[in-house]
Amino acid sequence: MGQRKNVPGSFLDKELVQTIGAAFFLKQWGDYNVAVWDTAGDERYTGLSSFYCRNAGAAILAFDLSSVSSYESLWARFLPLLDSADPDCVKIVVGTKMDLLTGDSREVTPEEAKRFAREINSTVDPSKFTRDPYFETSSLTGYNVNEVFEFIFQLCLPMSGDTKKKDREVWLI
Amino acid sequence: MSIKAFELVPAIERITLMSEKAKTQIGCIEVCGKNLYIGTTNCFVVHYKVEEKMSTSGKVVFNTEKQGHKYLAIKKPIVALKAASALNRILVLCDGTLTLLNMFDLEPIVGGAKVKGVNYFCVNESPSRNNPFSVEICVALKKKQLQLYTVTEDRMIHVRDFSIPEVALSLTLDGAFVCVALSSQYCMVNCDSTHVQDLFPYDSEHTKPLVKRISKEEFLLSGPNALGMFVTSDGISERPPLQWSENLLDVSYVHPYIIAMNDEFITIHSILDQQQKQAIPFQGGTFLGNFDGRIFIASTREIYSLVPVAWEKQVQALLADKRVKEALDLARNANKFGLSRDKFLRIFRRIQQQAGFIQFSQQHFDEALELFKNGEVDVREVVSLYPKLLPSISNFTRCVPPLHEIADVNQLCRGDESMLALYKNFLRMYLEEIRGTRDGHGYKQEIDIALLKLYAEVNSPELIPLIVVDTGCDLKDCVEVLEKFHRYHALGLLYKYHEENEKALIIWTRLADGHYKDEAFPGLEFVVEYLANLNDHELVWKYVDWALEKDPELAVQIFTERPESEPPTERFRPDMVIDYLHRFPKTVIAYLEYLVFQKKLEKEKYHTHLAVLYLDSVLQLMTTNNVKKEHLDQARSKLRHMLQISNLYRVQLILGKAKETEMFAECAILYGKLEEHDKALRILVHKLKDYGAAENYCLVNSQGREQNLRKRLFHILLSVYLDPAFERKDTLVAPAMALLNSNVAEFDTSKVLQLLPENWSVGLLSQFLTRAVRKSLNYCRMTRVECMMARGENLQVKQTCIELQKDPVPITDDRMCSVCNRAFNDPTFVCYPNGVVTHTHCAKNRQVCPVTGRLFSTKKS
Repeated sequence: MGQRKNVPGSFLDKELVQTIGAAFFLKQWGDYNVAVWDTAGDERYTGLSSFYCRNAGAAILAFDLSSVSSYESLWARFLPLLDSADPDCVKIVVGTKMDLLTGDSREVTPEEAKRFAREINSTVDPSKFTRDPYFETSSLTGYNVNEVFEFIFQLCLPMSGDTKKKDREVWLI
Repeated sequence: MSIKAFELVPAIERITLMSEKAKTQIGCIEVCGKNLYIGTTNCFVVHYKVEEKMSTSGKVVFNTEKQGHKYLAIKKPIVALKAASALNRILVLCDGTLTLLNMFDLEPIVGGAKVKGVNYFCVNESPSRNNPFSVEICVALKKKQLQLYTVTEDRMIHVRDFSIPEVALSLTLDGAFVCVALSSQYCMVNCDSTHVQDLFPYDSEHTKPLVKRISKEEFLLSGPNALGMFVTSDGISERPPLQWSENLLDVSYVHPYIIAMNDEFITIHSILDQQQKQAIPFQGGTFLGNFDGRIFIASTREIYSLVPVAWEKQVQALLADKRVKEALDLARNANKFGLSRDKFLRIFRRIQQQAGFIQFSQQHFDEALELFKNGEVDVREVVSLYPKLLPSISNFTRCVPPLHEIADVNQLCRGDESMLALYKNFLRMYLEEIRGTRDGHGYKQEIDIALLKLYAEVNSPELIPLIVVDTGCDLKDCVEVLEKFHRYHALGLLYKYHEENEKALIIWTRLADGHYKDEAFPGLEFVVEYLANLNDHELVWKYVDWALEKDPELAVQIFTERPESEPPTERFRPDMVIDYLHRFPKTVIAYLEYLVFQKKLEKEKYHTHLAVLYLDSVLQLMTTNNVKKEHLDQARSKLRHMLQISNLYRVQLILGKAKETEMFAECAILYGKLEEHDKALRILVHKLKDYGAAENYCLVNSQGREQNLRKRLFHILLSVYLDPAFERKDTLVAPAMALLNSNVAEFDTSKVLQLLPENWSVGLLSQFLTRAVRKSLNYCRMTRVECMMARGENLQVKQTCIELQKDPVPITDDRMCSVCNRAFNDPTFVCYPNGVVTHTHCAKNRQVCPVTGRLFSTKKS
């Protein structure tokens, strides 16, 4: 939350910096230009984040696996921001910093996170999901990061038939 | 990374008003063409003319002249001014009232053109209606309402109202969208649908509300925490925000830079990467605006302009910082700045050259190579960086102003040998690439000499091709270098190229004698070949002796391998050469062979000489012991070949010598030449017992001559076989029979029959006889056929003749010649098969009708 997703490989390869306001990049996926926004987690940017979430087709809600407070703030602070998003907005919950987990530093179990992920996507047709919209990742090693994006793109961007270029936005919190 | 993109230039140093009151402060400004209007805080509108000029030092200066001023007499500050040049009006907002003034005399327009209770207003920058004599404006009222007006010369026509949730503080109208800063948030109003979309909240106490148009239906807003937020008319953002400093006062945009002013600095961000590019300290700013691409900034008393630094200067600044990539990017994008293509390319090339030298100095050789090539740098600029590589006669001086600060490569390498080698390698690659291309045009000498020096140093295999083929290397510099690195063969070649043959030969004789060492030297063959092709005959003779001493057999090629095209000269008259070569017998043979077989000189003298020499060598081999048989055979076959093919030598002379020894085969040939076939064949049959050779003799000696000679020769051979005087004649029956039955032999059968011994059985001869009879019969029949065919042909011709002649040809007085159209006076005339009748002298060609041109075949078809 609030920090930059530093993704080696196909997505991002930038230095880890504090997000100011919001960061933005374009990603080609098939025929689509996908706009990915990274909104700031800092509380003072809350008003702006809601603005940047407008008409979002999908959102990634990221929290620190070793911090239960960051997990709770998803529900408390960040979920309301998505009110301005598309009603069908798919919300993906992502636990981060997998690489830093040692035996007892984990504060959030996969089960509760999965349950939370299913709950917040109640407006979305559950048959669309091939799996729970919950991932555990490490941006340091890049573990599972591409899978998150692949999952979102496959879910939101119909590949067949519609060959017209179409901009949808994907949001990352 | 910072760029100096703009320069702050004073435009109006100190505004002067008639009253000169100290309180006069600038509230807002408006620029329209050359007109600059200032709205002061004490209710004056001041009009200046501003002219932008380039001073002699290349700097922009502003000439200003005050035109007039107007006091609006309400002692309230002027909030905003907007010019509407098409209407000759300026819109003035003062004390909540929007009015119109004449643009030139600043007199108010009377006639109800007025809106009251106005907080702020703006002009539509992309008006939807295209009446040029009206202006669309949007007015923010002091109540929660926006109003659209169409302004004409003397009227403000109310179009429609919009309700908004709060009072508007600032706004920008673009097309059908108004982006509005309310007291606690920004929103987007769609004028067509009147839909109001909330954007994001902000705190108007801490953040000055600013709304600026960026492009069509895209706006830049000042967000909380000094963030610059981009918003489209859809209410979303397509660019990441940018970070300003606190206490933002005003913002403006001129592509591709966003200019922001706070209480201490003017900062410049690029819209492309949202990064800050420049900061200019500036205190006391009150107003910042982009007026048709020109940026003006006002403090309380002065007005400045933010003049874009010429892109060339920006590029040069980047180059000075060795930021090559940025400089080139900037220069490439500068294409649009209104230069002609040629002029731009010329400047761009120079930038590429400079960039190339920077890359060069940093050992980025690939990039440097690319830049040198694309920038079409003067080759000598590059070569001159390497000490002593330019030709000594070159009077090249480096370009002024200099393209780089490099003294030479030694300075760059600081004694690092491996780096120096890299640099030299680079130069080699570069020169090789441009050699012969358009870039290298005109500098062939410089390029080739530099390459030669580089090649000579590392002993490159490229050195020799460089010198041999169309080189630009002169002697002056190169000789020294080649000697220094012991590239003697190359030196010889260079002399040769410059036709200093004597010097070249001195080098090569020394190489051949082993005084000099150079592995590139191919050996004596090379020198001989060179001498053979050298047309300075005096010089050739000078070295002939040397070459003959070294290797006579090779050296003779000097005479035998002379170019075809060389005209014969006195110095190379064959007799002289032969005399000269006398000391080296083998060379004489080789030379005579050349004369006889290759040049095909038909001189008895040479042929005899050669034959005698051949004979001598055979005789010599015969007399010496332990000679291998094949050597002797070889020598003899050479001799026989010579004797056989040549008809020019003196047969008797050779025969006399040949007869002394047992050289039967040679004697046979010689007798053959004397037409003494009987003797020749006897030798072949009796002495050599080589019947095949005997048959062959008959064929060879009758070749190309009449049929009867062949028959006679075979007859002689047969009679030799059947000679009753020969004591061992029985042994010759078999070859005789073979000859009779042979397919190649030809005989006069009746003569053969006379010759044959009577005791031979018919059975023995049956094959020969059968063949003879068949042949005879065949001949008889064929003759008959021919006879009959001839008779038939004769009959046909006769028939044709009769047919042509059977009709009478009446010649009367009025019958005219078809050719000359005159009467026939002679009794003779010509009648063509198609009935055309002419004089005999008019019928030039009997086969072609003179009138119709028809061809009459001479043969019967």
